[in-house]
Amino acid sequence: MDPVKRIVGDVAKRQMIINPKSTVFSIKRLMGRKFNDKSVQKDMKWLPYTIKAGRDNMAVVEVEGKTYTPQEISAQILQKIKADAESYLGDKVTEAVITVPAYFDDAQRQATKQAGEIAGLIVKRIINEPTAAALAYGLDKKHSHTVAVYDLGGGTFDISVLELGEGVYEVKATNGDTHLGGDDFDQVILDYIAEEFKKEQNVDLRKDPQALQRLRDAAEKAKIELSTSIVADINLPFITQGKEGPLHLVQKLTRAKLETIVGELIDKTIPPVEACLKDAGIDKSKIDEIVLVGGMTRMPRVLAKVKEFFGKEPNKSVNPDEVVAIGAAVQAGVLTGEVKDVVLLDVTPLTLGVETLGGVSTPLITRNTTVPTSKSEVFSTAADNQTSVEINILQGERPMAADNKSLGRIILDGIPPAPRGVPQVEVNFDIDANGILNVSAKDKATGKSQSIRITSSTGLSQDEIEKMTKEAEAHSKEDQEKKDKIETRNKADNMIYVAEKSLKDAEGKVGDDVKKEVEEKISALKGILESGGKEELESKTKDLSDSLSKIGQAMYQGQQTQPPSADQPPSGDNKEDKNGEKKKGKKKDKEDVQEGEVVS
Amino acid sequence: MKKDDIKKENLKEEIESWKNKYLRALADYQNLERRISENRLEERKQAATEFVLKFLPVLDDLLHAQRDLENPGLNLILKKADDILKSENIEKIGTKDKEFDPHLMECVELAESEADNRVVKEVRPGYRRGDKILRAARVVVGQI
Repeated sequence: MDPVKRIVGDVAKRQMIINPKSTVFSIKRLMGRKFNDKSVQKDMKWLPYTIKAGRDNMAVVEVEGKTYTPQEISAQILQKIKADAESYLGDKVTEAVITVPAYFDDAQRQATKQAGEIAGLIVKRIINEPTAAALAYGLDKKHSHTVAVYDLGGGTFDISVLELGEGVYEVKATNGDTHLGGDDFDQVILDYIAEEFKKEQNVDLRKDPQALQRLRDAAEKAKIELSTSIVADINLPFITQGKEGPLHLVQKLTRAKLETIVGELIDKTIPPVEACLKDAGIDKSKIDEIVLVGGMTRMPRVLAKVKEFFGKEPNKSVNPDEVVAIGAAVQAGVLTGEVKDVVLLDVTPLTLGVETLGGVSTPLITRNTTVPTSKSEVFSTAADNQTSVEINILQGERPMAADNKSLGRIILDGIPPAPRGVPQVEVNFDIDANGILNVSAKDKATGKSQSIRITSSTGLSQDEIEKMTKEAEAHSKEDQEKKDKIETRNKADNMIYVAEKSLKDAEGKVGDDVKKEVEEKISALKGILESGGKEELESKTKDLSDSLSKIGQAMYQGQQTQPPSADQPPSGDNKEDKNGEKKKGKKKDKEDVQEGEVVS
Repeated sequence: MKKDDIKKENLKEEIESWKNKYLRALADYQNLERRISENRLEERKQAATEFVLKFLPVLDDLLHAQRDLENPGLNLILKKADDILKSENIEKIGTKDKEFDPHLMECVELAESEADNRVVKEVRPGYRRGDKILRAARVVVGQI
């Protein structure tokens, strides 16, 4: 019935060369504009399809003898998006929030709304693209402040200054360049590569359509690559035929070179930014937040330019290609009341854990875990015949217990005497929906348990949380070093214990030379246990471990019929651990505990 | 007595509301679990596709070389590569003498020809996995 083929998106783009006059793009430029509008007249010069005056002198497009309003064309795109969303969600999509450039006037907004209606959507709201971008960052939730949105996309550049927060959404000013974007960057890069090749080979690749296509792909690829790498290799073998056979394009493009060749384009964004600030009557130092939109803002030089101009780090954590759509989705969520319907679950602001051997803080529930939640872990003793353990409950991000906040302690006694590492104490942390933490410790052998209820586990003020988090970040390196050293010392201590136990077990079964060697190594390691550095401890621990394996070898060779049994715990002496922390729990894996092996 | 009834009624309502919220949360969780496992499969396929897409330019270069050198050895290499792609259910999109179809092909050039809207030359092969087009074929299309 309809002679015009209705294809949308990439599929339409692929046939553009065949049907240049019937392929409509950049329709947003005509939306809600009169035919004699200055910008329409200007765009007509480069848009390949026919633009005419329609009803009320509005701009319309003509395709194969039939006229279409920009609303009708836009509706085709919206219908495709609607269908795609429905197929993904498995549900009907009936309502929409549509974003428009901030400079759209009432007529343009009205036309956009009509496009949505033609597509079968109830348009709940039309919001400005920069406002949507700010919403994606939750900037509306803050107190009233000024936001600059820098949007460098594929074909256009927009800058907007907004006043946001406390229910205020106001676009103070907008500016931009309707013909500046990623495509211009690609062209400059393409020209540079082609010129370099011409200098070398005296062949202009831009005159060969197929080579040009490959060059265009390569230019875009190099541009993207150089956002994360310092240098990009551009290799296009057999790019064209020379007089003496095939020619290959082999070039290296550095980020520095790229920044030189596109520098002018980036600089072109600054005058509109200055004009926008002037219109808004705001000095750049008064801008509280900067939001980046558009794929081109991934380019490090663009980012640096924005930062240099405003003297501030821009918001860039949300994907710049999706940030506007995400903001629209946030708005849609608020409008449908979905946000209200959701039970807002709290998260633990800081990590909760227990103190283990050597004063190390061992996390059980990490920060930002949604509550209610529960976590159990099995710990063991640090010394032989230890009959009680003390569980020190900690809150904070630092690796060492002393640097974190102690919320309380449980002492679990009555543990039957056993070698270190054998008893199994299950520690359970449970936080209910109100943020109340219940900690219990249970000796698996006797079933004896102790528990404590801590009501203030999430009751820290925002300032306290921020302070603790910042401290953790500031000390992260030295803390890690301290923790590593203690863990190394714990390993060394374990190795001494295992070695002494093995010597006792192997009494009379190994040669004196092996015994002497192990004893010497034990004594060497003991000598540096408190004073030695990490590397020294590691090397001496390894020495002892190597010698220890000789005991195993000797025992297997001499008595293959009687391998040592894991069910018979060794009779260790009542030795205090080297840190004098006899009562401290010692982290153990369940399987390890069952095997009676002492490995931290 | 009446006060107690109201209290009871309120409690009932509260229980109902919590039960609903709990069931919703449980359902959300189960849906999330299902979606995660579906996504994982999809991601695995996607990862394989991404790798193939990254690798295709190498095949394109070999093809360019072959067009130039017409080397039988290179032919064998290309065939091997095609076989590997086939084993991953990735097939070349046939374009020879076909009518131009923008769903499968991208027109990069027009050429005079006796047959209108037909492919006269393939510039870069396209690939598909089942119904999914991994990359459209780039073609020169004939026009009278």
